[in-house]
Amino acid sequence: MSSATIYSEGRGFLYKCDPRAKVIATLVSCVFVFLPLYFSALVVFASLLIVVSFYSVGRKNTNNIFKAILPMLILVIIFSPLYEREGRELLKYNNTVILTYEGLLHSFSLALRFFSITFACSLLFLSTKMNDFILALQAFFIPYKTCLTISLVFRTIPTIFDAFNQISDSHSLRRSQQTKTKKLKNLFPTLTSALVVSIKTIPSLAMALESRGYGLKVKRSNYHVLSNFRKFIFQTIVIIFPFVIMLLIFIKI
Amino acid sequence: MMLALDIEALNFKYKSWTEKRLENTFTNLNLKVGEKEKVLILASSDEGKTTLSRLIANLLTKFIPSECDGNIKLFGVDINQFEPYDLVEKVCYVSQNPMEMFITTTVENEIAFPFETMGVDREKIISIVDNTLKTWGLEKYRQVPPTELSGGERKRLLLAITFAIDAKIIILDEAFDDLDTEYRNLLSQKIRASDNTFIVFSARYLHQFENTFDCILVLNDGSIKSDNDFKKKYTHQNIDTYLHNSRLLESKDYRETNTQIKKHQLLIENLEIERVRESSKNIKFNLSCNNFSINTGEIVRLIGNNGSGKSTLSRVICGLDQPVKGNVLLNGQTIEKNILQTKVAYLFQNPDLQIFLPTVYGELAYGLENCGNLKNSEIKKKVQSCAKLFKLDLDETPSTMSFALRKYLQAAVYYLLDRHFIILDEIDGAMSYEAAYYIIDKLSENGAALIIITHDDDFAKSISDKTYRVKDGFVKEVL
Repeated sequence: MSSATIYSEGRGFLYKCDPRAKVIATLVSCVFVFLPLYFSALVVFASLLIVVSFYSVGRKNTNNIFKAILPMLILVIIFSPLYEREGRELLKYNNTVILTYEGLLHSFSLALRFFSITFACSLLFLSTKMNDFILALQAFFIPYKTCLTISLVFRTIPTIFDAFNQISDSHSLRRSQQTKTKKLKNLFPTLTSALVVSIKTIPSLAMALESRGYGLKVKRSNYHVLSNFRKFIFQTIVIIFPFVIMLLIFIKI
Repeated sequence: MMLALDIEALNFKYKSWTEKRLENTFTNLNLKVGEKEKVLILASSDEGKTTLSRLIANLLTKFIPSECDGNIKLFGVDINQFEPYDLVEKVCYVSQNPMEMFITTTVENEIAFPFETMGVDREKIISIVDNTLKTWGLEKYRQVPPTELSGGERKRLLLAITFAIDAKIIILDEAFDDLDTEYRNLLSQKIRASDNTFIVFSARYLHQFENTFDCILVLNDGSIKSDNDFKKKYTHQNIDTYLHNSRLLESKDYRETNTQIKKHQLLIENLEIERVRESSKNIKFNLSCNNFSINTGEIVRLIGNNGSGKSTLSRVICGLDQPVKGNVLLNGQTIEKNILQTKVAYLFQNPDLQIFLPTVYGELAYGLENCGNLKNSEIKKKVQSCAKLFKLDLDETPSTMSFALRKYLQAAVYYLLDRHFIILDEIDGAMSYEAAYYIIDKLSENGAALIIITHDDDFAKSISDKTYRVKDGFVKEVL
């Protein structure tokens, strides 16, 4: 059975990092790719992320992230040059400019930004247990209600994904042999069923929360605690250092 | 004796999503349960067990559109004076479907959650979590998300949380279902040893109930008689005469199989299955099956403890999953996964994952329409006769039907598709024996071979021709 989870157990160095440091690194990554940097900076950063991913969450997970974002990357690379057609012409049909060097560069920049942000976030969630992530958010003064909502989203997404897989399996058991067109056509009832199952979980989830005492006025205690503050500061400095170096090298002045 | 629960003149009905006027689920229902009393309430699947248990836990009217009047008192106090979260230490409810009660992303967090909300000290929570995991055999799943557990393990987790909270009133809605014999026995022992009040709802009378309860009541036609005379009258000895459908049949004679049907054989040879839990790769699951065979017309039972791999094996048999090694042979021929899917049906434990269209007609017709070789008039005729056979109303919305009817619908779908082999995963779960027998009878009528997964040994013995046990990573025939 394909069971969907976001956290994937591993022993890479990212797993040993303090979750607060990883949250900071992810945020810095997201900001970094939108700074006025040379195109080469985006290439170097994306390559660096692949290396980090490969050595921390493993080849299988790295491939999975890549496969998941590949369709989006292809769409960005194909369509975004059409919106940026000024500059050095590379492809022309009759008198219409189809592709320019600047347009191509722009679309690759967009694709690399999307790639880097997705990879950075995926690495955070693949290597961080949900309770550690929530504790990290709480450490940054995010209210518990917000943290719980995030946690519920991450608890619910795999469940819906599982339901989708099971419903899809159930559909395939009720059909005769399938052609690719039929499979595509049958995606709609599968998605509808998954949606119905998901909607049905809303009152149940509210029920479950309150039956476990969510709403009590008592001060909440925490079962999990984070590692010491010194370790967090040290790791944050170590993680931020490469960003500073890259910024010094690649920033457009 | 002080009353833990006092229900007086309860009337309840759900509000329909459409304009349709729904009938009362309960009319003038009365129920009195004393403090520390252990009560078993037997009822067929569509009598409102889940509704009543949620009403007692104050988990219904706030979340589901409904009309309710009458009094429900817990230890003499009207339940309406409490919010559901106020009752966390007073009433604990174990749902028939554990997945709907899980909140967090790991087993240990699920146990810790209510204690965190109650503000219990961290050191104490750690000790509670450790003891609970140990008692319910869940230690190795500490870091595993509930989604990755088997049906029985999920039920164990929910029971583990309930017994850890140790609320004064514990409501168990079909809590024995999905559990293997070891944990069914553990649960009945725990009920017996506890000083809390227990209200246990069940569609069937299991042998684990023997000497566990102070009284047995029957929920029928929307009401319970709960005066003292009633309790004396309906004891274990004569309960069968009252609730005739909870009886086990003693022989296989009830089954009429069409012997004229062409024989088919499903054979598994040297099969190796591997499953890895994404969240904890150290928990690898391997299953070997060297010799498993079933012929059309036979009923085979597949037994094994929770998490032993019964469902995993079933998924390979029906072609949903690929084994690491080995083959499933049909009439001596190796067949592709996608062809296997059209020969072997699999009725999932949870019917909601197999019914998805807005009407019963749509559900039944879906498979036939996909076959592509039947005219609309033929489909209509087949669907109508099948609906009649399985007591289904063609215009009804499946998602609002009772659990038993949803199971009937699930079975009716494959009855129409005329599969040679049908796997029934926990078909007796939350069902009366009569309903389970009915489904088995109808599905085997056309000569299909049935593989029945159940934890109810008495039930399984009464219907099966042979038994396979899944244990320690191997599937072996029990001789």
